[in-house]
Amino acid sequence: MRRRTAAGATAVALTLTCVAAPSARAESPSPNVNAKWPSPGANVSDWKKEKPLPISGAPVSLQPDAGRHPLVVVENDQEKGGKSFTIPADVLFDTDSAKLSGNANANLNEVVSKLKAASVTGQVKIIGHTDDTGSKAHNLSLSKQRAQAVDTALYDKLRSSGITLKSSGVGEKDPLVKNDSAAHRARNRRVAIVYNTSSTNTSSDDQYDISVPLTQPATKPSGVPPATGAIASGVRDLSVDNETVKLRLNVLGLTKQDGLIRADVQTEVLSQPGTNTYSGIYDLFTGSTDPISGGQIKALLYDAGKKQQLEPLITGKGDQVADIGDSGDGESYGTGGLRPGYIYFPAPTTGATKLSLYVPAFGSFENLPVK
Amino acid sequence: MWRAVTRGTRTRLAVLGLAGAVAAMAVSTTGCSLLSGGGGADPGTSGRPKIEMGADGHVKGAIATATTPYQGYKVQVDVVSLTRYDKVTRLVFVVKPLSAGADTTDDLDGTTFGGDSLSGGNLTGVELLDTKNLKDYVPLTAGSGDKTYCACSTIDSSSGFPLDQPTTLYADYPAVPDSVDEVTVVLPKVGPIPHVKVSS
Repeated sequence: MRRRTAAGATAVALTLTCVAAPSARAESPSPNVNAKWPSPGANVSDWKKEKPLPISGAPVSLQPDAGRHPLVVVENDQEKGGKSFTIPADVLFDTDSAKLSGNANANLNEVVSKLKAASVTGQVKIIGHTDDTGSKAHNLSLSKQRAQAVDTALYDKLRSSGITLKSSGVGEKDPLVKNDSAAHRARNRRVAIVYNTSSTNTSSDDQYDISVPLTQPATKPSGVPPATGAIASGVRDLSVDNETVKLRLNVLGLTKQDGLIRADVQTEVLSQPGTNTYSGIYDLFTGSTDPISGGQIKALLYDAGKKQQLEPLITGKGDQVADIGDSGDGESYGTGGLRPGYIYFPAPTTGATKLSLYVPAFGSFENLPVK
Repeated sequence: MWRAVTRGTRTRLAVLGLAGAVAAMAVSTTGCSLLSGGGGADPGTSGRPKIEMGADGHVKGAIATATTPYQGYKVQVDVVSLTRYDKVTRLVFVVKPLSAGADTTDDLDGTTFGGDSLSGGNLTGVELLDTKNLKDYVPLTAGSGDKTYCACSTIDSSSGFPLDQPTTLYADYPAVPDSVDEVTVVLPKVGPIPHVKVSS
């Protein structure tokens, strides 16, 4: 999906009426292309009628600011006591602080809309967690203060929602994963919004959802030859009609071009069963296989340190990141076929020289250098 | 599981249509006068430049070139010229799908290099991106509504692009300002080709 905002009424526009030039003498190298070219800017196309039409057009102004936002990371998770919307503490707070940072509001608004979308009522628990760095007593106290800060901020947003909030902190007691690496510790530092929903039917989105959390690093390939020219690669086994398709995404690089950053990627089918050909490349970037409404590319570029996220500005209509198209034989492809793709993002205002690329079906490719 | 491939295009055409209508009230140029007095070489009566292939398989004198793996083939694009006329910028480029040793007589779909197709033109997806001024140029269009045509090469999408044969294509864009020296040419399947110089 391209996202762009039209230029204002001041945009340069032109209207031309012009008679097509006489037909060409040279033969077309390919029989499928019109041999006859008009003069530049002349009317062209209604060849059959040879009827002059006014030609018009204007450049479209890109709006990079519209694609720059505070980093929002609210994961659907499972915690002790029920389902949870979980936010990494690093996104909400500065290190060792219980004061909500500038990013917090956008993340808490996202929690509110998720709670409403899930029709949650009754008691919602806000539980603060830390990693195992520092003393247990300090961590316990910090986790309580952080949960309380979230409670206070959410209280106003959830007025007359039928939800009551209860905050607590458990320090380092309930880690999600072992505290054995920096990435795992970051995952354990979190605030969980734990809820129970009376609704038993899963949201209609769930059955189509193939996305993984932004906090999850992309799975590195093993047992397959490395991809030529890639600075990072991730693999994903995807179940399609009860068969497993093995896919790889290669990141070829991030390149700054003035106010934009271009991410070059390749998608690749490593293996697929039988004679089937996988045709859902586009879905890897939307995170949804929903044939009706799954169309929006949800890939993101983000600056984890400065907590800014950058949303796609131009993706070439998905053609580049996908095999979207009609059912022509050019559109599905077999094992080994590389598909190049690109996404233009706004450059971050943080001046970061390393950024992370999130592709919904693969996870995050972290700390990629910007050329 | 295919979706309609109309992403963005409809909206964009609507925008263009509106801009065109506004402009039509203010400006109306008839004949081919826009070509005179604006600089730019006369491309000749046919408008189609003569293309000569070099020994390396590329167009002689190409100003930019890109080769990308695609579906087991490679796609090669040589930009022949990007010329600013008075009110129009014309892009001329040669596409050549390479069989890359594959044992096939296949061709590549007629929309391969153009993205979405409008009736009468298949290069609406070929764009010029001015990253300095954050402007994106799509091909000019003629007509409106269902009778909208792209000011670009007409491709019979049912026959496709033959492998290992060059096909010369063009697309016309709104004029790029004089202050712009280079743009990025963005082609479906091939991707962006940065730093393509604009000549006058």
